[in-house]
Amino acid sequence: MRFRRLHTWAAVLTVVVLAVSAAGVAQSGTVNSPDTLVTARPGGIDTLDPHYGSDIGSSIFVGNIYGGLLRHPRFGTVNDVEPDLATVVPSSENGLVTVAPDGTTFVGFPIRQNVLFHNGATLTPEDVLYTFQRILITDAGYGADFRDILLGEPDINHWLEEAGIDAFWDAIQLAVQIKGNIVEFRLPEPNVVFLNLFADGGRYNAIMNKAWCVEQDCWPGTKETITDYALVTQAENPIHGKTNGTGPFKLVNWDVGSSVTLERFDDYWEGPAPLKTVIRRTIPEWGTARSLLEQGDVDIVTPEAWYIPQLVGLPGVNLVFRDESLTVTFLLLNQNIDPTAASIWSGQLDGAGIPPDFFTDIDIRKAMNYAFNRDAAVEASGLGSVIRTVIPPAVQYYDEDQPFYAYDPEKAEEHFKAAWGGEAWEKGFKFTLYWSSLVPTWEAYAQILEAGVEAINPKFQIEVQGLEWPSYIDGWWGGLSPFGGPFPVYVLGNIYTSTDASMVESVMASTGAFGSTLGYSAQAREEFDPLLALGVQTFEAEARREIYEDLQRLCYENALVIPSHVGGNVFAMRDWVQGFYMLESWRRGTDFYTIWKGYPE
Amino acid sequence: MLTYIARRFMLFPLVLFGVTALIFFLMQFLTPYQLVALYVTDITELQKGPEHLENLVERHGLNDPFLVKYSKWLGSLLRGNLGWSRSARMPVGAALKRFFPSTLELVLWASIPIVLGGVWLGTISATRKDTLIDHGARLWALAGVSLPAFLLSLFLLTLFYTKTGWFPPGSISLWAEKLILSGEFRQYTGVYTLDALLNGNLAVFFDALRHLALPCVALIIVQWASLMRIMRSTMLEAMRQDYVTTARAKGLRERIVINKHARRNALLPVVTIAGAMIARMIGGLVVIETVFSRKGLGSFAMSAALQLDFPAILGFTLLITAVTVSANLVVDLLYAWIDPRVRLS
Repeated sequence: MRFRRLHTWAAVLTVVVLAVSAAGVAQSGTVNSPDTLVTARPGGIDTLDPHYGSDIGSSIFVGNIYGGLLRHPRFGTVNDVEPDLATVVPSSENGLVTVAPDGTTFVGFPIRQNVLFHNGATLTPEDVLYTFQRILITDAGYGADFRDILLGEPDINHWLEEAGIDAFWDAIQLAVQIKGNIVEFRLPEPNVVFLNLFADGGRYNAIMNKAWCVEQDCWPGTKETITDYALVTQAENPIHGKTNGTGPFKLVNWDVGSSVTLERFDDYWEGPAPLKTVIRRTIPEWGTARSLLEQGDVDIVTPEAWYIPQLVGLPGVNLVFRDESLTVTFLLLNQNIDPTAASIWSGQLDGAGIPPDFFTDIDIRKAMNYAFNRDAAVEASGLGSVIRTVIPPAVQYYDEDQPFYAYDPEKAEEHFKAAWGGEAWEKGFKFTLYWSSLVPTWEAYAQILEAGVEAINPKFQIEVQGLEWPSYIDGWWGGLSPFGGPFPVYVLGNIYTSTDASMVESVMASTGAFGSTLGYSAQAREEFDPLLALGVQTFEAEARREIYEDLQRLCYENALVIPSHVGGNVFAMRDWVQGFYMLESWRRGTDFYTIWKGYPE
Repeated sequence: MLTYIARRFMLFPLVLFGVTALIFFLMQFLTPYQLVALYVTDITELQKGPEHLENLVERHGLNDPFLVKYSKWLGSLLRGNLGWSRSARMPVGAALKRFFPSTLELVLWASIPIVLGGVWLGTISATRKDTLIDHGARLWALAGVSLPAFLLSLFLLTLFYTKTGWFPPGSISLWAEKLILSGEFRQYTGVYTLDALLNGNLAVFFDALRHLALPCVALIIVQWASLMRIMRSTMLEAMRQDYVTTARAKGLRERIVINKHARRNALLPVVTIAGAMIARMIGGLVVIETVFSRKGLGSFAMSAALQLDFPAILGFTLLITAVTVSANLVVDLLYAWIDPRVRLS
């Protein structure tokens, strides 16, 4: 009797299991969800407000939602630009770039007609004007770059506190104006890189719909409210999680930390995309992501290089290797560490910590450079190659003959002994080297420096600790992270947005992302800025070469940073994914517009 | 009985109050900068650097006496303001509301087989002591306790998804997700299986169940083991009692002796353990949620802890406290139902 009952239950259970599971068995030879692309990445998205984007994860995604004035051509290279929401690329030939005798330069962008935002509003020059005014008053994203080129002073505090709101507003009004259907920018002097700033295809300078922004309680476009909107927190930002762009896809849902769902915008000005839905899932566990790819429930994943062997020969999965020749991995030595940060331990050069100005000593910086084994870093990354200077070989005027800090423990020891009057060698030091879990290989680079330094003197201690990306980047901006910050050393990838040599500005300018955080802005203002300014105003090739070779030399002599290597990347995708391309810089991100699923006839 | 229940309910807010006081006391050990970060949500204020710290401390009354600070914080808490979670990029309250249903669904579906199966296995093992069934059950329990949840989860995923495609990770399939986003499917609770039943959509119900299967099995295997071991030892203890011998001597059938006399008494400690276990599961599912790609409270808490996201950690602690206190309340009520002596006292 009991056995009969047991058998009944077992039979019921079997039927339920089979019924529940039957729907999930993938059919071989067919394309899973042909109109839906699912991608998986380990990290999430920080914000959907493009003007506040600070990380790659956010910026490469919002480019599919928004449009910019210019863009790099699809399937092209970052050296070229083509019109996006402008109708032509301004040039002196088409009369849209004019230079007055005093050097004042005017650059005009005719705005494309009949372009619709996702909410149905039509794009107008007023929207473009509002967009760049918002960027200029924002202390995030490209704000400082545009203030630097258009207003001559990138620091927003200068405008808000020293020059005053009236002067700031007047400068903005003068810098961007509408003339008929043209939005015109006024530059105090010619600038070689200005046009390139616009070409990120709707990422950091995405064109916004003014009426919609105001409706959402964003900056209303008035002088009186500038201070309130110069930097808002994500909690306060009404469009932190909302979008309204002109791009080929519109946002359907952002499930923070889990997934983002986009839907095709049928009224996109270039015509609707082949895909109907795009979903980006956050899957931190590699094993899970791989299983989903194998089953075809995810179409594209971006594995770390060490997982490649697990994917080779997997049926229905292709590996697409991409030479990321414009992304350089740096270990950055901070000369102005937060004195309250736990990462400097005792905060003194007593063997149990480091002082906040530890890296102001050039011998320490040189020793760190010599102690870092770049070959080991390349090996750890699995892809990429060592670079000799601050710019990668793909960038103009890369000088291969420059001296560089090859791994040399003996020379490192020499410099450690000379640093801080011999105190660093005698007493030793200790600090925490954080890395972000956003890029797992960064841990390996941190450990390579740790191993290289600790092998030289047992009194040298580096604690390597991983942080999640938001804490890491908050620590970079300083004061936001509960870990304190800025930290002593960062492992970061720097993306050169074009092959123009002026891109070195991001590392060497006093107002660049690195200089201002890493405490060498005073030196940069005096020694590097004049050369950088000359570089963007010089059009003659040989003269430019000299300038940028000088800059590379200065970077070496000052051991400002530890340039490690240029990266490479790999995408693993189902063989039914077609139309995928990536430019040589992350700047363009994945363009879902060209992708379709199926097998070519 | 009613007085007993009322008394237990009255204790509920008192316990929560005690926990908030304890948490707030512990918060005082944070550095001033970390403490300020709990109160200040305006990034521009924090960006002004350490020299601005004193102003912030003054403005937010962080130098006030403990009780004044505590009453202010409690007031803010009672207004539902738990702060902004840096790790979840949303208010803490919204994050808890977002992640709780996923975890609750998993725990609810797993807890029924855990409790019933654990009790059943423990009883069988005890009543067939030293037989092959007993040895098998004990071996199973040992494996369940020893096997790391991570390994077990990956094994299940490989076998039942990668190789067969039967039970996928995540919470729901693509088509169901699209249906939910289309607005045709109303989300009442955020618990997909329950919402599917409320919407009368059996396809979504079975789909959600399919996604729940593997994490539930992983959870069941791990939790069964401990419950089964406790049940077995308490059952053996109960079977040695005089009242069991008396029941047998009265000529009662063995099934009645086991079920009515021995098992009912053996259940008391198991109920206590099971209540605490289910409450603990809600906050401790990091590994299973990560491997099976379910965004729930466990992974939220993990992420908050890694980023020292104090408002989120505090909010999570309060929620877990409330769940634990509630579970204890349920356990106490069950106790009173199972054992009449509790009611009398």
